[in-house]
Amino acid sequence: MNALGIAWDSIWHHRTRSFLTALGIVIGVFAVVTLTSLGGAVKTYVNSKFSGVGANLITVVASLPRSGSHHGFGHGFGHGGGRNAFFSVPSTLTPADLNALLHPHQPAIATATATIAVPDLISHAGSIDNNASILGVTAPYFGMQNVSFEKGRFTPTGIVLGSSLAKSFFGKTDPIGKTVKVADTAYPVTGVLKSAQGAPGTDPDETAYLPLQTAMALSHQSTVTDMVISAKTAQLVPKAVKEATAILLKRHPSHNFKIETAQEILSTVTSTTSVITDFLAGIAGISLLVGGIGIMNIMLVTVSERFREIGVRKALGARDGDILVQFLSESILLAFIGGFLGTVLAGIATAVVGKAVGIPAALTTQSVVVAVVFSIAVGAVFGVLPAMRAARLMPAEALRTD
Amino acid sequence: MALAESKVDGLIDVQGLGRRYGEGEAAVDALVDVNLSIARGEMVALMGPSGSGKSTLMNILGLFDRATSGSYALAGTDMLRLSAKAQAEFRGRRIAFVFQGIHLLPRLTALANVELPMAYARMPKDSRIRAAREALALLGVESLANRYPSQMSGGQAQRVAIARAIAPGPDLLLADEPTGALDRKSGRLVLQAFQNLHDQIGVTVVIVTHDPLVAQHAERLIELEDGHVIDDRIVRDRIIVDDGHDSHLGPDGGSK
Ligand SMILES: Nc1ncnc2c1ncn2[C@@H]1O[C@H](COP(=O)(O)OP(=O)(O)OP(=O)(O)O)[C@@H](O)[C@H]1O
Ligand SMILES: [Mg+2]
Repeated sequence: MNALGIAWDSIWHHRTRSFLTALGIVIGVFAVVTLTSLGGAVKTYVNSKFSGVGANLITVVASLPRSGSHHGFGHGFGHGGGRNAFFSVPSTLTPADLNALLHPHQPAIATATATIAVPDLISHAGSIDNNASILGVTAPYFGMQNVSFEKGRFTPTGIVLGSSLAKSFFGKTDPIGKTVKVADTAYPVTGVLKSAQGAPGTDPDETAYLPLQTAMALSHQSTVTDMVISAKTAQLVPKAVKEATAILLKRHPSHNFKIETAQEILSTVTSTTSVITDFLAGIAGISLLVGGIGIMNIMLVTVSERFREIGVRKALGARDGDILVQFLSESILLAFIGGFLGTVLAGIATAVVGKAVGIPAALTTQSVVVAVVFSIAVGAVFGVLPAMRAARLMPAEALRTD
Repeated sequence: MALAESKVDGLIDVQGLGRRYGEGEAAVDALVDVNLSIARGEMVALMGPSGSGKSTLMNILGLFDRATSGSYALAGTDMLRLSAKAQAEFRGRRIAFVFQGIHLLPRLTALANVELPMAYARMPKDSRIRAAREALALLGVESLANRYPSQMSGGQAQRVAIARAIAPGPDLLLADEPTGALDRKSGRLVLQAFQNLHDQIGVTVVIVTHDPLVAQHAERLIELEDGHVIDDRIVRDRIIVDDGHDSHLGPDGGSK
């Protein structure tokens, strides 16, 4: 017998009821697929952000000393002067530390840079750009962050502008040789960057870059905000961490610094998103369960409504298995249709939300496969009881209800 | 039993058959110690007052229901000990049932309805269609092949239902008040169809009826009352009811 044909015929005959029954599955699958797809998209996005810039980068920041000694802390406090607004722990890292990292050449370390955030405003011809941030850096910084120059270069005296910043100050005219002002001092523009994504938390397009020494003098600091080391390859990151730790420990015996790798940050972020999406998908899964119960309910109604049909079919020689397959096909098809609609809606929702949030999001093959398999399973599991009830009817019993 | 053994051409052999509905105080004995032998090729009318157990007996003969005591053999096979699957096979191929209501499946065409038992018997599509068309032609309703039950008159639908019953070539045709839902004219056409099937193909027919006119088509009359067989006689010479329309049936009495 063409069980699927009969099943479709019956579903189509009761379109409204079928649709309402399938709605439970539609919503369940929609929720599960949308959440897992969006979660996956966030993960991929974060991953690409990190791996694009800096899978091999290592960041050194100041921290409370690990040992009991408060020497480093006190030292840092005196020099930092509380002007560093970005960290709760005042920095103790100095350009001398950077030189130590760079000089005795280490096998795993490719290069290193130090940065300092300058909390001043930048202006040109009297107009101030409030979005801009100013960063003191050394020359290797640009290569490490994977940003390249549109024109000009980084010099020990001038200033380099991010692409948006250059546009907002100078429009179409060439900024090279013109000046911008930071804290009442004019600096000649010596380079303009290409538009770039940058590492998470940075926006190269909206940043102005001063030489490290200039920036430190400008903000009256003898310490830097952080240091960034690049390992020769991503695989050499752990080795580079060891080398850097050894060098810095010699200079900071109290271990008042902290070394973070991009990979660590990445795994923290991705495992957090995984936990959140799994949790939400689990909750959404409950709605699938409810949808399955809805299917079972309607299939029980369908079976008792169709006692006569079942009786006739059995009277005409249908085996118990034929009837079982017929009703099971119906519940599975119903669940499958629900799952299909739910997946389509999830595809639309994922694309829309992805666009709104600004990350590339699409259904993942995995989530679609899971949704389809799951909805078929729901149809089968919750269809078994009604189908068995139908299959076991004696024809006399089934035909009596007129 | 001696009777069963003496029947060379016995098709149905029922011994000490009982059917009890419910349990304890509320139990109803619909059939009590029914003994019955029906030979191949007989045409039997089953009569009796309402509630006497006619439908119950037919349901057991048609394997729609199980007896609670006694034995039932069809063509020498013990029916009450068959598996559900084997019973389904018998229902599909060997036994045909025509119901009081017209139990065509509403969303199938006449042809698809007639094909259905053969489909359940896993007959190949082309031989199934051939047999279905032949059966429809035999009952004079081949022109309705592609119509749905809702597009037929009651008599037409019942003839399609009979075509469905006989298409697989059954040994036994059971009909429980097949004309009950029909007007006189349609009823007569349906009875005529039974008569022809019996006369031409030699199908064994058991018809339950309240109508003495219907009963007069039979060669043998069995009467039930309160679940007991109270009368079982052979009507050698069929009386032709002369109301100007009944077709004349050739004298073939004495087949028993
Ligand atoms: N499923 C059932 N449960 C309980 N009692 C039943 C059931 N089916 C039939 N009976 C009882 O069994 C007896 C015989 O019923 P049956 O339907 O065989 O009568 P019948 O001769 O076909 O009557 P009618 O001429 O009205 O169709 C009746 O007393 C009826 O109430
Ligand atoms: Mg009855």
